[in-house]
Amino acid sequence: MKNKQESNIVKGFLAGKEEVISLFYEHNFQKIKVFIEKNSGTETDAEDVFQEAIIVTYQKLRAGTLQLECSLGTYVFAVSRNIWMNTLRKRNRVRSWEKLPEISIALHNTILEDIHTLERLALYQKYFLKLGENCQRLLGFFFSGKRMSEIANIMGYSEGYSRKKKFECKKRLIEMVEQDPLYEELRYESFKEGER
Amino acid sequence: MMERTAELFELIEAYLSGGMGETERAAFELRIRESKELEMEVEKHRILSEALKDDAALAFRKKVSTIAGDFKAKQKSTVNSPNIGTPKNHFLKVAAGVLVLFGLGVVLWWQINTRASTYDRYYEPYAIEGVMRGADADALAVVAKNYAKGKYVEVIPQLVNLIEQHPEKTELQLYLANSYLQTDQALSAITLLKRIEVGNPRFEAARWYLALSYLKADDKAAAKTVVEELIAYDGIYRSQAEGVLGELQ
Repeated sequence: MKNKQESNIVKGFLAGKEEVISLFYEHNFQKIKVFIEKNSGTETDAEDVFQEAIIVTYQKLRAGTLQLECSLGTYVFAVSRNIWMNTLRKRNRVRSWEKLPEISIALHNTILEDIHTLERLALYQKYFLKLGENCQRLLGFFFSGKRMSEIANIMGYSEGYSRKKKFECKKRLIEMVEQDPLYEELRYESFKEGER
Repeated sequence: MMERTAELFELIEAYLSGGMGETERAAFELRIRESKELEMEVEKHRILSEALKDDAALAFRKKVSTIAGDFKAKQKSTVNSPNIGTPKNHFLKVAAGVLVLFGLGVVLWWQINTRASTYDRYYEPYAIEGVMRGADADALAVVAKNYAKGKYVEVIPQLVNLIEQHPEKTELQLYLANSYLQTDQALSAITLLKRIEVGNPRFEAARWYLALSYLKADDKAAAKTVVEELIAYDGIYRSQAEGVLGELQ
C-alpha cells in the first residue's frame, strides 16, 4: 500500500462506504469510458464493465487475496480493461492484448482468472437485482436457507402461494440470464472446457 | 424441449441441497446422465444458488448500481442544464423569466416542459444486445454499428428490410422503434411496439418503450395504462415504471 489515502479508500471499499465508492466512481469512470469508447464500445458498455470491475475488486479485497502493487484506481482500470478486451475477444474483435505496464505479469494473469471465475456468478447476480422487490426478498430468504413455512410467514403469503411465487421468480430470473448474449458465450466456453 | 415446472424446480433444489434419500438421488442422477437438457438445467440452478448465497456481494453490487445510476443522472442534468454563456444570453434569459411570471404562458410552458422532461429523464436508447449471429450476419453487424453510433435516419430503411427477412428477431423491431423515437416518429414506434405480444422474450422491453413512445406522443393516459401494466408485471422495468407513474400522477 503506497500511502494512507489509498489505505483509507481500500478500507472504505471493504466497509461498503457509499461516499468512498461514489468518489472513487466519479474520479475513475471517465478514464475507463474513454478507453472503451476508443475500443468499439459504448457508454453503456463502459458503465457495465466499470461496475463489474469494482465488484471483482471488492471480492478480491474481501477474500484477502489481493496484493496491491499499484493504486486501487490503476488496479480497477486494469480489471476493466481485461473485462472489455475479453468481451471483444469473444466477439472475435481482438486476439490478445498486452498487459498494462504498471502491473506485473503475475497480477495480470490473476486478473484474467478472477474475471473468468466471477463472470458466471455476476450474470445471475445482475439479473437478480433487476427482479421486483418481492421476488428479491423471497429468493433472498430462500437462498439464505429459510424454510418455506418461515418465508410464507415473513412475506404474509400462504405456503402454497410462496412456493408458486418462488418458482415464478426463479423461472423469470433464469430466463433473463438466458437472454443475455454473455450467457451463450459462457456456455460455449464451458462446452469447450468440458471437451478438453 | 423440457418444460420448467414447479415440481421440477423442487426436485432440483432437493438434489442440490442434499435433501434426497439415497435411492431417489441415484434415480435423479441417472436422469441427469440421460438428459443433457436436465444436466444444463441443474447446472443453472447450482450457479444461481452459489451466486445468490453471497449476501454481502449482492448488497455491494446493489450499492454500486445505485451509485452508478446517481452518477449518470448527475451527468445528464449537467449536460441538460441551461448554458449561461455570454452576458447577453444571461440578460435575455432573465428577461424571459420575468415575462413568464406575469403571463398565462407560464402555465403552458410548465406543462410542456413537464411532459417532455419525463420522457427525457427516462429515455435511453435500447442497447445493442451483442453479436448477432445467423444468416445476414454482416448486414446485421453494419446495422448494429450504425445504430450504436446514433445514425438513426440511415438505419431505419436498413432495419425495415432486415425485419422483413427476419421477423423472428424481435430485437430488430426494438432497434427500429427506438430509431423512430429518435427521429420524432413516435406514432410509428407505437404501431411497431404494440405488435410484440406477451410470451415474446422482449415483451417487457417493448412495453417499456411503448410507454415512452406514448409520452413522446403526448398521450399521457395511454402511457399511464402501460406503466401500470409494467408495474403489475414486476419485471426488470418495474422501478422505472413506478418512477414514470409517480411523475404522471
